[in-house]
Amino acid sequence: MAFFNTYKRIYLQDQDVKSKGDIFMCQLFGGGHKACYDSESLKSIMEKAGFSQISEKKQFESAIPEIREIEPSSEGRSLETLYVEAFKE
Amino acid sequence: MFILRALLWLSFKVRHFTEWSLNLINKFGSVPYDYLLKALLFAQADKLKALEKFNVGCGHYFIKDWLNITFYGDFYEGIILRQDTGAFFLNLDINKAATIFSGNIKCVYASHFIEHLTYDEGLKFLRLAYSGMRKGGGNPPDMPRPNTMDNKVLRKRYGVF
Repeated sequence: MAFFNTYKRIYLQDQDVKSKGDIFMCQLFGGGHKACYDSESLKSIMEKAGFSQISEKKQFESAIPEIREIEPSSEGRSLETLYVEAFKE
Repeated sequence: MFILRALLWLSFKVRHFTEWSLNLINKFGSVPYDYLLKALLFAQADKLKALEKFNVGCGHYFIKDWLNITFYGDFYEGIILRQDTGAFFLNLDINKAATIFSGNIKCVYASHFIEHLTYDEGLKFLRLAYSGMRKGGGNPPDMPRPNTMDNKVLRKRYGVF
């Protein structure tokens, strides 16, 4: 519930959304989105592409040394972002 | 094709990217678009090989010293520009990007991007990224961020042209 309320406050203040379903649809189809992934499905498609050592990460947790410099950060970003990292061996 | 590539190469090498280059491209308006795009990327092959970190589907968010790739339909496509910020920018539809993944890429960062592709397009992109990366490279995609910046804002904010 906290996720939906925070998401609505950050992104949908001016829109007529009344339910969690409305917010889910905004997330799914808003901004030109054509697909939706959870951790398992994102790992699955990356594995299918050939990657290995696939793992979910926290914000700023990465093998990229300068991740704190390149990763944008905001309340909304932290709320709605799923981080997955993988390698080519 | 050779003449076109040679002219484009000369344009980028000698004059870098100038209005003269754009006029040159416009003169070849009858050349099939994909053909011209391949020639453009070929002409910049040396520049592409030197870039080993790709920020794909970056929208308005550019990273210094990285090749930042996004696609604006009404913007010149296939031209690598170095901005005042030190970021490299390439306007390109990622579905046509096979030629830019060189095999020497150290890292592909795709933030809030893959959800803007269909599942099949996303798989194609990940396979491209995988094939273009050197062994030991990483590929962290994260998602999703609405892309709200338009071409005018891009020009105004970053002074692309």
